[in-house]
This record gives sequence, C-alpha cells and structure tokens, in this order.
Amino acid sequence: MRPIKIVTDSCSDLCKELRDKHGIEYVKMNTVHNEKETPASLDWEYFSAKELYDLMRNGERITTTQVPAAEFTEKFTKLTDEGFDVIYISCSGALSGSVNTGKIVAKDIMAKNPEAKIACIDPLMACIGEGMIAVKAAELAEDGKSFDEVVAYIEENKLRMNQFCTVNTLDYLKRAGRVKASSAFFGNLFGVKPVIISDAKGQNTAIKKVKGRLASMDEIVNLLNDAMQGEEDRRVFVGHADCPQEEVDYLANKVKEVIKDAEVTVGYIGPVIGASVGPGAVVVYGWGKKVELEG
Amino acid sequence: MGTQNLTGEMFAQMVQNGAANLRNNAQTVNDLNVFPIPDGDTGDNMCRTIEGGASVAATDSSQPVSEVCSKVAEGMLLSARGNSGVILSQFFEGINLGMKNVETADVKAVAEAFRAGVKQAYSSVITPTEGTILTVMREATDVAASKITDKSTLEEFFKIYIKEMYLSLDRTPELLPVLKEAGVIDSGGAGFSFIIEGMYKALKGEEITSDKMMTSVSAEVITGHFDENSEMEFGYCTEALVQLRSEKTDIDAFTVDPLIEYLESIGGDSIVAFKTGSKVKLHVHTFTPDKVIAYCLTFGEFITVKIENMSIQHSETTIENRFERKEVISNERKEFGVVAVAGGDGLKEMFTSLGADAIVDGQQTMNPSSEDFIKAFDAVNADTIFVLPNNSNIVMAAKQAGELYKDSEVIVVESTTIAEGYAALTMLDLSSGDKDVIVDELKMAIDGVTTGLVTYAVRDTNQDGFEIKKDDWLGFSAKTILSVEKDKVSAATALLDSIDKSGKEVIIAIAGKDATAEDLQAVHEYASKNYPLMEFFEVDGGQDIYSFIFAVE
Repeated sequence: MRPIKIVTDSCSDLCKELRDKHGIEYVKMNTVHNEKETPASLDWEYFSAKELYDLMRNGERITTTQVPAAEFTEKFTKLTDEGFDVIYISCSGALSGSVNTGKIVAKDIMAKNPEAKIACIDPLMACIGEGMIAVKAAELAEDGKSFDEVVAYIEENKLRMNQFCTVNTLDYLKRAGRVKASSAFFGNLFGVKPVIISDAKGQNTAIKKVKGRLASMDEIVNLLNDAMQGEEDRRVFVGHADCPQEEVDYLANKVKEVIKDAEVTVGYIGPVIGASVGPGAVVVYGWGKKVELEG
Repeated sequence: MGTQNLTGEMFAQMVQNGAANLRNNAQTVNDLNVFPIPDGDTGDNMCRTIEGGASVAATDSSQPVSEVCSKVAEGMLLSARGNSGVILSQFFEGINLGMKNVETADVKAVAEAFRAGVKQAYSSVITPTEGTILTVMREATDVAASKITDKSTLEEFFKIYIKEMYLSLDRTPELLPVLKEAGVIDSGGAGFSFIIEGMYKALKGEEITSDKMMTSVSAEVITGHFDENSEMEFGYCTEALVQLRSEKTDIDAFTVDPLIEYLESIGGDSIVAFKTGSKVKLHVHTFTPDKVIAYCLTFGEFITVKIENMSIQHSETTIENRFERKEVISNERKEFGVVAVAGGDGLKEMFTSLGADAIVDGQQTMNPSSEDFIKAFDAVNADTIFVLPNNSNIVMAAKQAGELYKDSEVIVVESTTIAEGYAALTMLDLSSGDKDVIVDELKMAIDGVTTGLVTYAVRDTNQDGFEIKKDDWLGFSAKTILSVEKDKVSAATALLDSIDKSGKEVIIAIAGKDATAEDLQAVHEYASKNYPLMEFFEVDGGQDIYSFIFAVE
C-alpha cells in the first residue's frame, strides 16, 4: 500500500504547526492587487496579514485566483513520483473552481502513472473548516486507514463540519460574490451583524441577523454549541481576520465558557479567504451535526 | 322656543360649524402641549379628522339624520389622524350607530346617540386614560343626558352639555399629573370642546366662517398659470379609477402589464398602475390623455378620471402621491409586505432601502390619516402587511386603518419612535415565512432600543427637575427630559451620557433638518471619545422638529 499524502490549498488556513504535524501540503492560490499576482502563502511570506487587511480597510480591491493548473501539476507529480497517493481537500467548489482544475490535472497524471491514486474531494467548506477536514483525513491515514476508506469517510462526514461566521459588514463578501443573502440583509443595517454558515451546497449563506458585535460573537458560539451536542471531537477552531486582540480573546473565552470540554485553537484567516470576507470577520468551526440547510 | 327635532340638514350644518370653529382655534389646541417643544399637533389632527366628515356632510344635507350621520362617520374614520382624531372619529361612529334608521332625532334620541358615541370612543382605546378627551365627552354627555326631559329642546341639551364640558375640561389637570406639571388642560378635550361649541352655534343659527384653510390633502393651491401663449411643456397628470367589465375582458386573468406597456409606448412616464379586485387604478404623465382614455375603455368603464395640466403647479400633492413606491407597482400579490411611516427625505429613503414596501408620509406634526394607510395597503398588495407607525400618536390611526381594511391581514407593530421603527426594520427577516415569528422578532428589536430625542423649548417651564427657558435645547427619552442646554450639540451629548448604555453596542444618530454636518460631526467625535466600545453611525434623516433622533441599541 502506497503512503497517503493529504494536500489542501491556500483557503484551508492551516497554520504551519498543524501542517507539519500531519505532513499536510498545500497548493497556492493567488491574491491580485493592482493586476499583480502574489502566491497566497499561509505563512505570510510575501506580505503581512496587517498589510493585506489595511489595504482593504483603505478601500483597495484585492481579488483572488484559483489554484493554477501548473501548481497542481507540479505538486501532484512530485508527490506521486515520491510514491504517495494523494487526497486533495479543496476549497468549496461553490466558491472556487480549484477542485475542478485539480481533477483535470489528476486525471492526466494518473493516466501517465497508473500506480498513483489521486482523489480530489470537494468538502463543501472553506477556510479552517476545510483545514479541519484535511487534518481529519491525515489522522485517518495515520491510523492506517486505506486510501478508499479515508476518501469514503470524508465524503460521508464532510457535512458534519459546522461553520458559524460573523462580519462587521457584508460588503466585502458581496463584492467578492461569495455570499448568498436574502433581501433581509440589504440596506444600511448599521450595527446589525449577519451570521454566515457554509450550507449543504458549500455556499456561504447568511442565515440570521444579530444586533451588535459582541451579541453576534455570542450567537455564533451558541449556534456552534448547539451543533456540537453529542459530538465526541471537542476541537473548536477560532479564526479571525485581523481583529483587535480583545475581540479575539472575548470570542475564545466565550467558546471555553459555553462549549463543554472545548479544545480551542485560534488562528488567522489567510490571504485568500481574507480577501473575500474582509477585515473584522470572525469564525468558529467544529465537528457536529450534519448541515442540512441549503440557502 | 327651541328645536325639538334634529334633521339631517341641521346635523350637517352643525358638523360643518363644529369643524369651522375648531379650524379657527386649531393653533390654540396645538399649543396645549404637555412637552414644551414645538411638536403639538392635536388641533391639526382633530381638524383634519372632522373636516373629513364635514366635507361629505355638505353634499347630502337633505337626507335623514341617520344618512348624514353615516356619511359623516365614514368620512371621519377615513380621515382620522392622531390619537385624539381617532377617538373623535369613533365618537361620531358611535353617534352613527345610535342614530340607525332615524329620520329626525328628538332630544332623547340625540342624548342616546351621544351616549353611544362615548361608549364607542372608550372601546376604541385599550386602556382609556382619564383626564383626556374621553373624560370630557363622557362627563358632559352623562350630565346633559340625565338632565333633559321629554320637553327639553336641543338648545337646552347643548347648553347643559357645554357648561359641564368646560367644567370637565378644567378638571383634566387634576386627573392627569402630566397636564398639571406642564400647566395645561388636555388638548384633545379642548379640541372636542371647540367642535361642540361650534355645533351649538349652528343650532342657534350662527354660522361660523373660517378664513383659514387647513393644508389638508384636498386643498390645492394653484400657483402657476397657463394662458393662450403658454407653451405646453409638461403634459397632463392623468389619474383614473377604472371598473373592469366582464363583457370587455376576463377580469380574473386581467393584468396591468399590457396597460403599462401601452402607456410607455405612447411616451407616458411616472406610470403607476395596479389592480385591486375588479378595479384598476392608474396614474401617468402624458401629452395624450385621450389615448389613455380610449385604451382604458377597451377593458372597462371609468369610475373617475382626473386630468390636470402639469404646467399649472399644485402646491399640495394629491393623496396618491403621498406614499411612495420604489417602482411601477405590479399586481403580483406577495405573502408579506411592510408599510412604514416616515417624514423627511432621508428617513423615507432609509426605510425604503431597509425593505419597506410603501412609505406613508407622516411625522410628529403631520400625522397620516387612516385613508393614507389604506392607499398604502392597496399599493403593497400582500396577504399580510406589517405596519410600523413609528410614532405613538400614529399607532391608533394605523390600527383603525387595519380594521377598516379587508383585503389583507394588517398587523400593526407598535413602534412609537423613528428609532424603534428603524431598529425593527434592520432586523426584519421574512425568510421564516411565519408571521408570528416575524412579529416577535420585530418586537424584540423594538424592546432592545432606547430612543433619545433633541429639540428646543417653546416656553418657560419646570419639568423633570429642570428649569427650562424658552429656546433652550432639550434632550429627552421615554417622555422624560434628561438634558437642558443652550445649544443642540451639548443637549445631544448630555442626553447620550444620561441614557443607560449597559448592554448596548450601537448608537445611530439620525440628523434632522436643522442639524448641520458640523453638529453631527461634533456629536460623533464626542461619542467616539467617550464610548469607545460602541459603534456610532450617522444617518441624514431630514426630519422636522427633532435635531437628533438617537437609537441606542
């Protein structure tokens, strides 16, 4: 049996420590500012998080590109040549075309190298939720599960990853075309914060409104707590897009206070997701009940 | 000698005289304002209400008294504005009920009808407050009705009535502490007294003339001109109400889309067309109203047509123009609709952008009538309509309109300030599809907001522990004065300091007509500096009276 390598992409927002721990690699998307493309590094190699978010705060438009085919070719070829079977956990197909590009490249490589197996899984999830699914796949592989078993488990369980996000303004997500929001979220909703989930189709969907920032952070924690009832895996990931430390602390403490036995990890929202959600976004992720809602 | 029997003609004259007497004294009634601020409008509201009855009484004076009463009551129900106006309209509705099938009424019948009026007025209020118009009408009616005999004349009845009425009016400050504190008698009771006084004078043959015209919706003042040399520049404002006819069209299948297309094809603009039941209402600006008429005759007959040369400016808009629509009204029925009351361009735009389907033009000193609401309900065309009256004095008119309206379920969500209405609308979410859930969410949003208002004093007074001088700036919340200052910015910041902000995260400042950008900036800076954890948002509301409306939530 060939060893399994888990690959994800710039949307997974996995920190270096976790990637190294599980031997997870990632393919890079790009951020684009003034027509200049920069590979989206999760370790902020090319610019700091602060620099990116400050550009956005100043009204600069940052766009993103999907993972280029060449990036897939290079990564998949290298790994399969090294003897690995590859499971690629992509950014939600509803938000990025990367998973399709990955599939096309994978087909090509598998044709050339019939021994190699490459699975491209659309986890219907982005950001740290995507990352957590990648971590889960790596853990299953570490436990000695076969390629097919890992793929089957992830396909079966991916909708049990729950996302609850809130932003100061929906403007960034709307501009990036990466949120579904009913007319309830139009107009100058001063002080009203939307709660955004990743729905059963992998689309970001605004599901409710909460008045006030702190109230909205309380609400996402309460919603995650509901979703995690009866769940054994107590890991909770908290992500933020350059929020003040007090807010991050408030949210992390709230998670510990509300969610029983929560094991909290706090991380930065990386450049690609950041370019879509904008500064000020906070999000919590955890395994739990299956997401049924289709926005 | 005196009058033994009240005829329809006499009753019509009495109502008209009552209206004229109130019109002449409306400002006096407006000034009987508990708060020393320029927002008194009871006189105007009651005046517009009774004029709605008086205007229809004029054309039907030869009919039996029951007929005249019915017309008057109907007219007043539709034109009722403000809480006192609604109570007044219900009083006349009660008289109407008491006069059923009566050709001419003797004094006993009149007394009984007045009693029915009082009963009806009381039943229109959920928790009747004594020391108001209700007390004045009840006490005067009780005393006058108990003192008359079979031989009494109507003049005698009214003489006793009026004497008791004024005694009762003078007692209102004893019953209602806020009146006593402000040193005024009840304004609604005073307005009622002017009406009764005018009615009595008609009985005595004294006709009251009024040279003051209320700026009512029907009052059109021509300010432009059009003569033999004028250029035909603007076309005609053409409005029609068309009865669809089954011999000409399939009424159920009829839609206004082809009509709108046709109106566009002949160069019409400002097109509004909608179908309600078997009627079509249309409004278009066109150079060829003849074509519009010919086209409408292909599917129906006219109930009314109005064609006005737009070169001649009308300073008062018609009722149809007093609510605004985002676009050409389609006749597609929706599940839910929202009607909000707002005055000032900024506020109207704000409520529209937040998802209100129709805005009823109105604010503190210009309360909308039941009829204004009904027009808006028609335009919204939804199974369930949520109404945000956004003013405590407009709640009753909204509810009365809701009861009169049969085509939709109308739910009045009692927002009593613009800030509450704003807070409610920002949380509006129809996606549950459950009206109870939607109403609960709106109410919860309203409960979560504290309203602060800033305006100026119109007289010297002592209130809530403050010594207030005329022209001082006042900040108040929930009818309690919290700040008194010499300038509006200080009044605003002191008010914000006084409002309990625990658990609150957001301050929305809605700037009125007289608040400058600098004023707003100064308040913003103060808030950012002193409440760094709160978000502060600015809205250019453009409202009258209140320099600032704060929503703290």
